[in-house]
Amino acid sequence: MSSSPQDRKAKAAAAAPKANGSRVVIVAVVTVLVLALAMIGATWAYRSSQSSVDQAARSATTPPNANADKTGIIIDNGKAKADAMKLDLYFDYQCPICKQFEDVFGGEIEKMAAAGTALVTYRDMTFLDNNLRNDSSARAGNAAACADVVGAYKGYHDAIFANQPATEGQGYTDDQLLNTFAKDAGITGDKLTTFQQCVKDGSMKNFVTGTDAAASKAGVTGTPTLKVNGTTVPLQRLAGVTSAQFPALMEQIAKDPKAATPAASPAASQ
Amino acid sequence: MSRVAPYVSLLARLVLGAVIIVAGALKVTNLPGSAQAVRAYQILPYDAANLVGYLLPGLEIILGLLLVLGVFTRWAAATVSVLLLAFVGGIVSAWSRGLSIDCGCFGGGGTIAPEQTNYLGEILRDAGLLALGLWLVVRPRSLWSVDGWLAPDRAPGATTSTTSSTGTSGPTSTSDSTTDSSDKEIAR
Repeated sequence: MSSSPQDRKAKAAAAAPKANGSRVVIVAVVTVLVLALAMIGATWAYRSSQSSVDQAARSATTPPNANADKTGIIIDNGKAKADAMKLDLYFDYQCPICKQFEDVFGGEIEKMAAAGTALVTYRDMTFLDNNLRNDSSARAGNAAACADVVGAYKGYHDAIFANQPATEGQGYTDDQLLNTFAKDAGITGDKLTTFQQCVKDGSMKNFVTGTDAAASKAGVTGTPTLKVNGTTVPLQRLAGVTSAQFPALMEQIAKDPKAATPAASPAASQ
Repeated sequence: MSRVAPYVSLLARLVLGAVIIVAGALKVTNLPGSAQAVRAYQILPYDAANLVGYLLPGLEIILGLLLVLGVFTRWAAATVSVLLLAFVGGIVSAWSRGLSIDCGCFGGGGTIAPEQTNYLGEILRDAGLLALGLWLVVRPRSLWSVDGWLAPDRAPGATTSTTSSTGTSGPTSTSDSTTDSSDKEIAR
């Protein structure tokens, strides 16, 4: 640039950048502003969603058999023996694999709860509402927790999964939640009135918001997730396991968490 | 080569820009879902993953618009390339840890059945997009770009070419000057 042959060129070029320079500044400022606004907006949206979730969880009315930290509902509350293993089941009422899981293992888990060999906590998640763009997971969760108010949680939970629509995303109707499943769970008379009022009021919505958030915070990113004494049992480990074999497998994993890894299974060669 | 390059760059801009605008637009209407998709990778801690899920769709749309309009093409393409590298890294990581998730690249995401995963397809697609991004980092000049309006003398087809770069595009000077010299060679 300092060399004399290029002086003329440099002078000619110097005129143009002056005009373009202001254009560049304008475009740069606009770009940075738009970026900054978008990032601030997104951060604000996240903050406010988190605080509303926290608020909901804190102020939640809890069903009678909720665990101490309001993150789930205990099945056959009080029956678990002192040395019982802890079984935590994370599910979403709209999740098809959860239904498959329920169909095979649900009965066994509830038997273990009834026998007191396991402290079973059902932890409802509602993230499929986001994916499926409806609110059936949250509404079903609310209704199930309302069933706990009248002592029929287990039966109601089973009724929802038994009637899960074949097409994922079709969801549950209010009539199903208020009447059909209640009938299946044996809720009648005054209890039915109490139950239906609870469902209509959405009394347990905040509780369900809280169980979902707590599960996400605990690192559960998919359903169904089964934890035995805190150890996640990969679904691959349960492939091919029959309901009859299930309780023994749970005992085995409770004694030795390594038994939860699919490689520990002799059937899993890959 | 350099006569064709502005056309290739235009095409690269439009394709890459459009794809990430679509990717961002499909997610921006469902930010909690986007956060869920990022959490499913099980890489970042809870809050960080959520924040990425909330920030990413808007960022993608803006970067896509910059590319389509040809605004600061090199910088936009470089940023998109870095993002794509991160996406590929995330997918490879999820795959190698035996997770079965959808990449959530175009909405959706989260855990899916193992037989539904398409890690290789997702990686190849991102690698193709990354190639477009890297091309634009090397050859950001293209037809019909705001960049051309910002620096007309350096736009393709301009008769004068200067060896000096404008002050605002410092880092571009090295390869621009090589491009310029090759332009001169062809233009004599």
